[in-house]
Amino acid sequence: MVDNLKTVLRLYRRYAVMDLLWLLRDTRYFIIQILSDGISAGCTVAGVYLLSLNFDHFAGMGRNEILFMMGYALFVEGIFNFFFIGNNAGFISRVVGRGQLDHIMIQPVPLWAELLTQGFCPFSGSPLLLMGAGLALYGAFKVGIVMHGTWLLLCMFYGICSCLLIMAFLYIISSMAFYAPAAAEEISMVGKDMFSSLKTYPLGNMNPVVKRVFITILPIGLSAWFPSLRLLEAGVNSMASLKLLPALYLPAATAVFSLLALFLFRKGMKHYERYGSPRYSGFGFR
Amino acid sequence: MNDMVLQGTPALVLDNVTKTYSQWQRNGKAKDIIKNLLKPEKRVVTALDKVSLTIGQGEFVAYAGANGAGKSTTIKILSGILTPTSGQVTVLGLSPLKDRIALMGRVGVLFGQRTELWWDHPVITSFQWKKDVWNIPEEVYERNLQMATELLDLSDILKTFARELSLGQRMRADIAMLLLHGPDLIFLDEPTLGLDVLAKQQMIGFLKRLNKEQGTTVVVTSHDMDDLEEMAQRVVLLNKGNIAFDGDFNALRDVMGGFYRILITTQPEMPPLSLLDMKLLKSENDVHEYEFDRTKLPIHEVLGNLSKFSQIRDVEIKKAPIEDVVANLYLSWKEK
Repeated sequence: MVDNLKTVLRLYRRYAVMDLLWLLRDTRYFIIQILSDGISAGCTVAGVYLLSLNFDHFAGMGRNEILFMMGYALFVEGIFNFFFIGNNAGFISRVVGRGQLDHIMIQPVPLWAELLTQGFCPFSGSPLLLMGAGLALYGAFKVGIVMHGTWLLLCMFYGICSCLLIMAFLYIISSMAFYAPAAAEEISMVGKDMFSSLKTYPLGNMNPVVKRVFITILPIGLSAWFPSLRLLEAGVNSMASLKLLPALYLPAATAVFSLLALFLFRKGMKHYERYGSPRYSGFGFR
Repeated sequence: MNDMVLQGTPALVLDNVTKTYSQWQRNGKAKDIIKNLLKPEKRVVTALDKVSLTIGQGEFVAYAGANGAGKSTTIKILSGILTPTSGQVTVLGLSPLKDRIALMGRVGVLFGQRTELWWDHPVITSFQWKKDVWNIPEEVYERNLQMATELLDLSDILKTFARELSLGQRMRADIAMLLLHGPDLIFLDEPTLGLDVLAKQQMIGFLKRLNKEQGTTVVVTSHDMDDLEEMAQRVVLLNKGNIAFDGDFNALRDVMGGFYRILITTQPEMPPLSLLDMKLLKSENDVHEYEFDRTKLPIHEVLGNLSKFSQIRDVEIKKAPIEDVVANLYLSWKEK
């Protein structure tokens, strides 16, 4: 356990150094990257802000509440970029489908440790996290939330849960790449796009059946809308006003999705060890 | 790290290892679409068929065979990437599947058609990455880095981005990276593939030196039999998942009859000589190449016969190229 923790920290440190070296490899590239990240983040923030202005009382949420929810969604996206954007760590179907697990399996570290750390980009992946955190806090301020330590911790905890839930969902669908490597190589990208484009829609006025689907088997509502409502409730009223079951729903769903992802990925790994990378499979030769 | 290997423990043991794959079969006819969906036709491909093999510490073994013979499958099984369908595998006394993490700290694996280098970083950054992932002690890393840099002539490319390296440079950098943790055993899958003559010579020279001076066990696969003969002391030939030959290269030649070649240069515009028990292979610019079986026609008899021809200007006797020997072997296996 201690050895594994040391390994994870060592790997995080190495990937952080490599990310910094990559970002600062050349003045011209660095300036272009900063400029493009700045423009992209500015457009995202402006887009979110303008949308929130047009959606006052949309689906039961006020303008500032929508601004907060969109900020939260960006914050979750930022956590994803910060930890999983490098080396296709967040798009695991590509690694599986391209037969690149071989490279990881010849390393003397646990597979999970390498998969967990190899996407770590604390420098090149941080702009969206900073923008998202800033926008969420601004939205919270506009709603009138008093941001004390407990609420901030809850916000961070929910943000991490939402991000892990997205990752677990991507791992679940990416497990298909073990069986149909070429056909499913890009499936994690499709899954991620689905979250990115749909997660900022408030589900308040939706048909209850659709709403249930979006907070259970297709957990898009758990990546922004549902946790934002809980955070607004806890911030505007008080932490004590949070009902236990709804408050625990996101962490519980994250745990269930993570366990399912673990089960399916391990099953896929068994298949991979038995049949190898795509070469001998009908779907997969590349 | 060599100290960690118990004396007497074989470098690797394959005991009755079988590996089968299921392969789809489709005839491409529209009328069979329903059949393909409901009851698809499959064929079992036996990549390895009850293979048993032991390689001792310090050996340099060539693992060869025609395309699809099972070479890469074996390397993947030995590296813990694939599981055998049946049979037992131990590498340095460890199970590649159960003890993967411990084992990977003591072996090095290189798939020649892929690189382990980080594409968007200079070579030295990949080496530092390896140091952290393998948790290589500083003094071991420095010593091996210095050795690899010197012997593989890497000083000019250490700061170059991997994406800008030529194939030869990339292979040298990959081999160097492979050795940074001081492995006891290395698996090289086609390490000379695509290299020019000079790069190939450098690579072969380095691997031989590594095997001789450090005692590192080397298992290398290649289609280039000349390269393998130059490198390895022992050759294991696979055919359709079975070990068809295991021995040294001279013994391999003897399997095909111990054939030798003789090049006879004659006076200008002379026809080829008529020589008993020798087969004329080709004639070009007054040089005539014959093949003979050394076990049936001893060398002294060949020289005795040739001394009768005053029109001979020059004679050169050599072993049949190993490429030809193996090509004939493959052909004979195919015809069986």
